[in-house]
Amino acid sequence: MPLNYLDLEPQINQYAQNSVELNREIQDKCQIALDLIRECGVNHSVKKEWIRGVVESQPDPPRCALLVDDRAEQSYACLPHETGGYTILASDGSQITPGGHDAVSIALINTSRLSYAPGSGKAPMVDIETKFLFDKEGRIEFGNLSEDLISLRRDVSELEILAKWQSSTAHPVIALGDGPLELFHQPRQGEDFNRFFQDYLDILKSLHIKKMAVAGYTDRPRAALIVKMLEFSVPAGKITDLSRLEDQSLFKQLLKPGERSAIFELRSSSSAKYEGPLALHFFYLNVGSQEVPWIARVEIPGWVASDIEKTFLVHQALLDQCALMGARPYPYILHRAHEEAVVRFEEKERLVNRLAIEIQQRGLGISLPSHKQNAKNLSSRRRIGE
Amino acid sequence: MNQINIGRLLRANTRGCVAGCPAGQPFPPFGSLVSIPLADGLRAYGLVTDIHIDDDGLVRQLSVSGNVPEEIIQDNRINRNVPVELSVLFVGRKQSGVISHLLPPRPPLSLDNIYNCTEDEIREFTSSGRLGYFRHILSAEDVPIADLLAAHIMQAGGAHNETDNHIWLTTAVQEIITLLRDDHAALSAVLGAIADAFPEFSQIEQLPLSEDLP
Amino acid sequence: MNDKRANPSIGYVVGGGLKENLNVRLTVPTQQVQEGSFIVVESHDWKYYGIATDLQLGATDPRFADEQSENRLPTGLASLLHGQTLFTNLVLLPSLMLECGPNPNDLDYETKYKKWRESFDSGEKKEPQPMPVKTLPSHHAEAWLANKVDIATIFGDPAAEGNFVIGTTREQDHPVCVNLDKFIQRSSGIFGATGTGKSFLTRILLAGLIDHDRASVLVYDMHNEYGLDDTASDTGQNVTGLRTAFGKARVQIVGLGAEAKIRGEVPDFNLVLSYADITPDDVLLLSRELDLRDTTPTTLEALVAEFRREGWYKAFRDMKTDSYIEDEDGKKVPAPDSVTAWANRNGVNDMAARALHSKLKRLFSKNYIIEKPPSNAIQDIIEALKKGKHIVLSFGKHESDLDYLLVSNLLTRRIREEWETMTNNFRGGTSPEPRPLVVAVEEAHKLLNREMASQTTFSTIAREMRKYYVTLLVIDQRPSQIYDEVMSQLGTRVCGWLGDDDDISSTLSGLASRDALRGMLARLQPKEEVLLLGWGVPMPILVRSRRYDADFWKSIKSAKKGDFDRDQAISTMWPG
Repeated sequence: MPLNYLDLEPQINQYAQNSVELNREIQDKCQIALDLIRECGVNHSVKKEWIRGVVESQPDPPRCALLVDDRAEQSYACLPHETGGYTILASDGSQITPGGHDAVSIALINTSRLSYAPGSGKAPMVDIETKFLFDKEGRIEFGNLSEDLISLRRDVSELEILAKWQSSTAHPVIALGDGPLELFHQPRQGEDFNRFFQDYLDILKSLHIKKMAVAGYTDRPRAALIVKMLEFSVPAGKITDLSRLEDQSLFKQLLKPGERSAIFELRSSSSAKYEGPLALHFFYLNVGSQEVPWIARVEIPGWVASDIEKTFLVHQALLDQCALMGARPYPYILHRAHEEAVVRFEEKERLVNRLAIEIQQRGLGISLPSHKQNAKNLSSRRRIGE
Repeated sequence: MNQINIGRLLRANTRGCVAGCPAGQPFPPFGSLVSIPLADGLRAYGLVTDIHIDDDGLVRQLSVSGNVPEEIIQDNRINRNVPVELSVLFVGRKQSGVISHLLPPRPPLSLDNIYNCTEDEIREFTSSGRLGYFRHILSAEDVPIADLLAAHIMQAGGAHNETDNHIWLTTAVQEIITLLRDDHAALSAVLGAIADAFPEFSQIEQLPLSEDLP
Repeated sequence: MNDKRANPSIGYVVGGGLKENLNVRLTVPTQQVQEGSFIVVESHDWKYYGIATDLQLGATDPRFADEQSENRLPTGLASLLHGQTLFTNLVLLPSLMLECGPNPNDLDYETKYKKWRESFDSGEKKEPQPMPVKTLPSHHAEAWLANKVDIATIFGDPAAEGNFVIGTTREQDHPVCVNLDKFIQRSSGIFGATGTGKSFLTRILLAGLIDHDRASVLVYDMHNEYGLDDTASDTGQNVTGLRTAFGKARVQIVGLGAEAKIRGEVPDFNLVLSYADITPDDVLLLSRELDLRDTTPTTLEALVAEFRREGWYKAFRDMKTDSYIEDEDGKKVPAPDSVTAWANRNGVNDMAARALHSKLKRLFSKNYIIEKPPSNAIQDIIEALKKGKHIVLSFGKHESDLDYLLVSNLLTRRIREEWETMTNNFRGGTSPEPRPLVVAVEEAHKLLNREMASQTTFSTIAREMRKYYVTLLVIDQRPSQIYDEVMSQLGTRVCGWLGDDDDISSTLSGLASRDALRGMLARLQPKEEVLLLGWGVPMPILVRSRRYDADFWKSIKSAKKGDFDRDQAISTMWPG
């Protein structure tokens, strides 16, 4: 059935009206936030300690930014700099989650890695790892896997494939991931989660040992880590409400095209587990143009945040990558990693068929897809001649 | 010219097939003769009737983004998961060493290798029988028949001329004229294309139409 | 019999029928074949012989013909295109077919041929002969320009006795023969407009006949062309006469009139008629020439009644006109020796008698008619002919139609009587077989036109005299003027270029496939080409006539000449 446009019409009016109001509110709040961040800059040391104190005094550790060494409102251009060449890696993953309605239930993750040295003239190397998920006894997981857990294991694989990269290059290596480095935002419990989280940290450590410049790239971030920090920056007893304001609104004002923000520490419920050089940091980066600013958040581990060379390299590499994509800036290599990792519907079908044949050859019957799935698969109406 | 594997079969029917070949390596030109070994010593022969190079959103985006570094060009040519698709029209087969211009008895299967043909093979295939395979070309649908014939005649005629067999070209053109002489429009188009391919056609030796009478 | 051909074929049969002609798609440039070419089609065990009567340009699609693709395509390509889309169809008039045995290209040809031959050698079947076309070659049967063997198969071997080479095929110069034995069995004709080489052709044929010597030849040489050497009217070159070539012993020239000189030479003997030779019939034949009235036969009858056949002419000649005497009463009356007196005596209309006398004065004045000639020249001529000599009767200065009509008719009548008698005697077993005689008549339409035909001896000869060993060789430029019935009796017709449609129609009268031949006849090349037609030749064929020159005479074996080597002459004329 089509939508009931008669009912919708007044609501559409209201929606537009509310948007205008929200926009005005955000502009106001953005102005307040700008004042606050400049104030943080002026009293950097004081504010740094103040905020840390306020945050730690919270009963439930909030997810927010903490000031580190840089002044909060500071922006950094990517100055021309001789790098002497570098290699860039990127990985992405995708998964097939077992569906209760499928004929053959599969849990599978597909991870891709692209690597190349800009300026070499050589096409990127593409590596793909595809694996069914095994349980801890080493048997194929036939089901009962939650989508969260599969996502987690995919994230681990994405990092793992970067760590597996072998090369004798003397040049620095940048390892890019899609999305945050922080594995998950909300606390997770359970044996499996703990096990894979530990694997993740181990891999991160190995990347540190390999001195790779690891970074997680989040396009169009919706977080309000800085905004939250600014709320904590005001003197005690004074409450500032910056809710609904996102960090990117703020940095669109602060960062010129190509500039990155100061580096902040990321504080969350799990951030304590990323210890020492693994500690999570981030900065914002304007990959857009004068006309259309475009803010991305780049998460980096402590060993990169503390290494000015690596930070610079990441900054420059990301700008180069985004420039390749023209008017819609996004790191080319990440896009390609995604492209290579995606499991297409036909590919999944082919795999399911292959499995079904294999199973049948061993004398086992195949359950039909559920009737619900079958009904969904029915073709839509067709016109004569289509 | 050696036999080079140029790609693998994507899909096929009894009249033709589509082969994928990596964009990064040279692929056989339009109109050239290719062969596909099938099971039991059978070999299918076909002509490249179309070469598709598909685009996608990324390529479109890259194409307007100014300076594209070589690595990215190479990435798109070699790694991007869109092979150059070659459409092949079957024109004959070889069974137990005997070439025939009948269609292959069964189409090749997915991922069968496709090879380009050496000049020797081209000569062998085109000089066997009486150019019966032209019928497959002329009855092909959605194919630029005139240019396909011209391209084929250019390749095969060149191969025969290498061995000083100039008669083949003349015979082939005569056969085309015979087959198409009731279709003025089609024949004019084909001859126009052949004229473009062989502007010096007059210098090619002609069949002895008649000997001078004593 | 069936031999492999050295030349490529000129095309293949694409259609046609017995009623219409065969169509042959040419595979050689059109210019290699011409109208009138002698074509052979081989199909299975048969050969078909015919002549090309038309050539037609065609195209598989008219657009190929319309557009000048040679301007758009490279030359080679355009010519390939034209080779397949533009074509020439040859229209073939099939005449004869001949069983020729298995195809030499067959695998077991030897065996097949042996078997085929055996059926003839054992006498089981008759040796195959060319016969009129009764069936057709198959589609795609190949066609060739006839080679020497084909021509010889149909028209005879030039080396064989009795075969006289009248010319050669136009394209390939193969000799074409006429069988003279067959030629003299029926009357024949040589036609062609003035200046188309008719008299040369006649000389050639007469030379052939004299040389072959199976028949005596009597030539009524109205213009004194044949006996003695002449000068060609167009080239000015000397033309050998028959007497010059064969000698007096074989060819005699008879001059008309006692003092006749032919081209300044004294003839072998003179033809002088006696008054007694002239019969009333001879006079009646001249009715038109002398403008005689309807009353003439009556007058003549009265004359014969009184003076008999032998005497009437002299008597009438001696009568006077406008001669009067005075009678006893002093009255003016016609003299007794006058025409009027005679008329009155015999109850004949005086006016008519006088008119006849006046008109016959033209005859009376002829000096070759005298009362008592020194010899019986007519009988001499007949005797000479009977003995196998050949006579050229030259009219000398008596070139008028009157002379020609009178003398030729008179002589021919006598000849006819003589040969009839001889034949009857031969049939009765009392004398040997008469020697055949060919009477060559120039300007034949004067003697054989519709008006005269019923009266002259010539038409009788043409119609029935072959039974009596006398045939005509009619030479004329206006065949349409010759009486149809005579024309249709002519066996062999040798025809040069004719301009007039009626003449062409007459020449072709009585022949099958007239329509197909008509165009060809109209397009013959004057002085060079002739069409052979009719009963005497196996099939119509266009030939380039022989040149009447020294080479010709070398090939005539009995002609007077020095050290003549016949074989060498033949090999010079037809090398290979």
